[in-house]
Amino acid sequence: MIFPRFPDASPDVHLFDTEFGPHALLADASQVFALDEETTEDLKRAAGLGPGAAREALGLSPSLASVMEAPRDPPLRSLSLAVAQSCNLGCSYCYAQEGSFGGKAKEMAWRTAETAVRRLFADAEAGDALHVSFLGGEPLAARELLRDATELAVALAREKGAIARFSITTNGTLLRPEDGEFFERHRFAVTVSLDGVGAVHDRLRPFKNGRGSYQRAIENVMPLLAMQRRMQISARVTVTPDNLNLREALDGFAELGFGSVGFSPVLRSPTGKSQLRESDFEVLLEQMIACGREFERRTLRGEPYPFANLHSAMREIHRGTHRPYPCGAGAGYFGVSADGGMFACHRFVDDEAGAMGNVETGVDRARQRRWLEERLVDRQEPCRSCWARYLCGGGCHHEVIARGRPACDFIRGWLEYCLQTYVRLSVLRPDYFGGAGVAEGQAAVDVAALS
Amino acid sequence: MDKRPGKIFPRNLTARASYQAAGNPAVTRLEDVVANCYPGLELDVRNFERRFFPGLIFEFVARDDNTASYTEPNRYGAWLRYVDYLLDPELQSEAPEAKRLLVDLMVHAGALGANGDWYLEWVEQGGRRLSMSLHNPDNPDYPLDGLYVWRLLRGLAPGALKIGLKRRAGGKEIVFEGWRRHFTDPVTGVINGAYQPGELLQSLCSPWQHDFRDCACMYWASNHPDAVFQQIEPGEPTLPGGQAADPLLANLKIDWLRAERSRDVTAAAGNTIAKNRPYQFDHFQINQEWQSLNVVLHDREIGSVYIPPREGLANPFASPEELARELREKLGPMEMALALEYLYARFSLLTPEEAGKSRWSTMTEDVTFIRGCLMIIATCEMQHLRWVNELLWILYDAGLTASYEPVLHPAAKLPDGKGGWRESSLRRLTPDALNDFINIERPSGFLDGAYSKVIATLRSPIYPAHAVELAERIDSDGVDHYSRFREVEAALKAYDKAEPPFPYLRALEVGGGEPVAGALAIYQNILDDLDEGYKEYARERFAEGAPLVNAARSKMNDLLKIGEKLAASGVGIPFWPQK
Repeated sequence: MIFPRFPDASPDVHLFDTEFGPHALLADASQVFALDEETTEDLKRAAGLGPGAAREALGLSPSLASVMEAPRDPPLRSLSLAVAQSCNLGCSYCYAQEGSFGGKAKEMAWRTAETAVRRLFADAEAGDALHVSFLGGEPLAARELLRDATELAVALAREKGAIARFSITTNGTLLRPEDGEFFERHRFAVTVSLDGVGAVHDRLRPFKNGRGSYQRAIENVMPLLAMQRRMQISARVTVTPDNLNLREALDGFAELGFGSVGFSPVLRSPTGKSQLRESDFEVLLEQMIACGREFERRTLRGEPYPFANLHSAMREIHRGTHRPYPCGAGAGYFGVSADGGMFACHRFVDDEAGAMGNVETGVDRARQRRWLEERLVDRQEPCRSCWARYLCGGGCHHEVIARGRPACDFIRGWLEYCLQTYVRLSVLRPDYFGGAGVAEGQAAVDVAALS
Repeated sequence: MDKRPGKIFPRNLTARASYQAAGNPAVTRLEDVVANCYPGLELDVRNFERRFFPGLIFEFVARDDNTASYTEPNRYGAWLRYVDYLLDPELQSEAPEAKRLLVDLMVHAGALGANGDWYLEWVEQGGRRLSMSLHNPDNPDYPLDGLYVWRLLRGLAPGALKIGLKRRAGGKEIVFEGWRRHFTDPVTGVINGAYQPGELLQSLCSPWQHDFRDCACMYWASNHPDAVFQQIEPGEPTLPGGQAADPLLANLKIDWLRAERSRDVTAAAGNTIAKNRPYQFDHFQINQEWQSLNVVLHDREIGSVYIPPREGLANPFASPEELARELREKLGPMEMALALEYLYARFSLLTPEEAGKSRWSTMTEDVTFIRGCLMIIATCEMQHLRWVNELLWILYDAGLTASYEPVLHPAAKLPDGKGGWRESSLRRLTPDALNDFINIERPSGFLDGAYSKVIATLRSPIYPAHAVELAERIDSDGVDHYSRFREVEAALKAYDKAEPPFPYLRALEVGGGEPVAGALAIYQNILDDLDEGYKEYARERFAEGAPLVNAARSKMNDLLKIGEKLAASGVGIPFWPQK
């Protein structure tokens, strides 16, 4: 059922309808309220007059949420290490341009990895959680380095009474059972890039010699799926115009036993190939909603369905997350290149536009301050007048800087669906949201799946 | 109350958080409470030490009053009341120390329970042992008062600890090796689970009752009157100002906490707490009798009938300009002239050291007291001068007057208290001078009435709300100054018949020329700093004004020093040109 849409008069209030009556999203604190007819009318009238007027119309006290400001010198919390800037696959859409970011293939030196990890834990205090992520290229090409870096992080964490968390994104073709044991011991969040089942995947993710990589990847991953207790294995599906049948992929991976499957649409590809075009977004939205419906059906029956995107959205909406950025890039999170440069995130490795310092001397604070001021969602067009801005955050910096924002309607459509689903689940399955919200295990998985 | 007809329902967490539920206010949370050792309004922090050692519960037995003598030393100390190894959460842990201690406690529980006189004998931490008995080289040891023991235990750090228990009747010691408990979780701040609900509240402040007498942190002492004037019954003869016609009644200060409440037996308050104690309500009596304590207004006890002072009858000034003129031309300069007259008079008194050389045994005390009074009153007048300036710049900032210029010059004439005027003059503290001071500060004297009009004016809503408070404060200081001068008068009566007269005064003459140039320069600097500082304040530039005012204050100390030196050689500072 598609509901009639309320005209969007305001960046502060979004009215949406559900089977359980009209609702409003107040943007500044991402608050969701159920309304009656009268209040809806009041709110429609007040909508264009600013967040204060909207709150008054609802009889709420002024929001406690502060103005979305750039954090000042935020502490370092998370690093991704491009331990290998090389890859054995040749996926056309790869932000790392088939692994080496447009340069020579290289591997990170131990000295660099060590410096990076030490820097991460340098100011850690007891109880802090610090995150190390292994990316590339294909990180398993530098297996020894990865293991050594992990053990160093574990030792440093123990010294400080802090907590070390690990994740890896891999194409799966180099995975071995011993890797599984290692990941299991250190509770890794493992993301395997799988673009679909069988041929769909092969078309998009060939070995450098052109042959499909699905068989090999899936063979390597299945044993890990069987042994997972403390690690989390998730599949990441990079969505291009050639693999828009999301339902098929999700159902297929669910059947194989994946506990989490996340979709990441390609909005920017260095080669221009495989980017989603304007015409693709409608199909994408339909497919995402189709997956959502299946998720709802199964959830109402008490059955799991590993649709990570919706699962994340439910958690964020339940908490009322409101953020001035789409992610932690350049704030608490940095991507480290094989040479030791620090960049706003893993996609910006070796890209001047995101250069932020290096692991020897640390974050360039002046550069960081500029970055954080410039990237605030309230400074972006057309974001500043969009009701979804604090849920969306403005879109991936890397994509937006290169290509702008072609997907806004898709994002609003998806978020509207998520808001409606949230209301449905709150009413029909309130226990889904648990005591404090969503189960812990999911958190790390979803983060990795969306990178 | 929400008058909207519609309804809303919060779905997600941030929506729910925007609704403030009725319930206990924030101030009842532990982090907001007034909890200390005296004993505290929400909880008594001393109760933590009762369970300082896992498995053992002590009570601290102390004297009733820490000035009392050691009548029952065998009872004092940390008395073991209970051995609780079943329920103490720290003994349930798997840690080897906990298991060892648990076994130890179980083994000795029988002995500890069989007799009721086990006391803490010593504690040992970090290799150092602290005894809970006072060791006397000549006399037998005696146990420390329980509150001293408590204080020693408060000094322990959480962590490994050894303690020794012993029976007062004598016998072997029992030693336990354990640790001092963490009273609150070091990360979350949650109170240790060993404490039962209500346990920390077993002793609490008893505000409005017991604490009037016994609050050792002086919180209550600072909130109640101590020495006050007696109440005037309706029908008793009074002077026009409201004070009693009977001079004894007018000048007698009595102890507010006196137990003997009848009018006939009233004695003057002693000048220390200890001197008054024997005649006060005792610490149980006060719990019943606190309701017979009198309300005190304007330093005077009020019985059943309160007659408010005249100020309500004053007519306001017709306009802000008129008000400003009064402040600027009359009241401000008057405060300044008085401050300087009092200061000069103070220089005329011998210092305590000089007085010690005289043959009068009480003179050192007397001059110390009088110098103190004069300093307090002079500083008060200076504060009034500041407030007059502040009122003027408040009027200017509120747009009620056209300009603000600092008022920093003394008046040439002062009221004589009898309806007329006298010249402002820098004099020694002779009886005549003192009389003039008393007359000007007298309630219903000129000063009192002058500020009544200011107060009546500032009550109008066109003036900023806080301005009237400044004026009221100036006004209320008057009573205090008057009674202090009366006390000075009483103190100086002893020297009435002295030959040569005024042995407490220096030979002081107003100086001029070279000798006083340095002092006058400092004085001028002070005025310049204040002038600039007040101008900044008037422009709301507080950060710029504050250093100037502070500089002026520190120069005032310099002026005092140089003034004393000059006065010691008989030279008085000419604060204004003499005729």
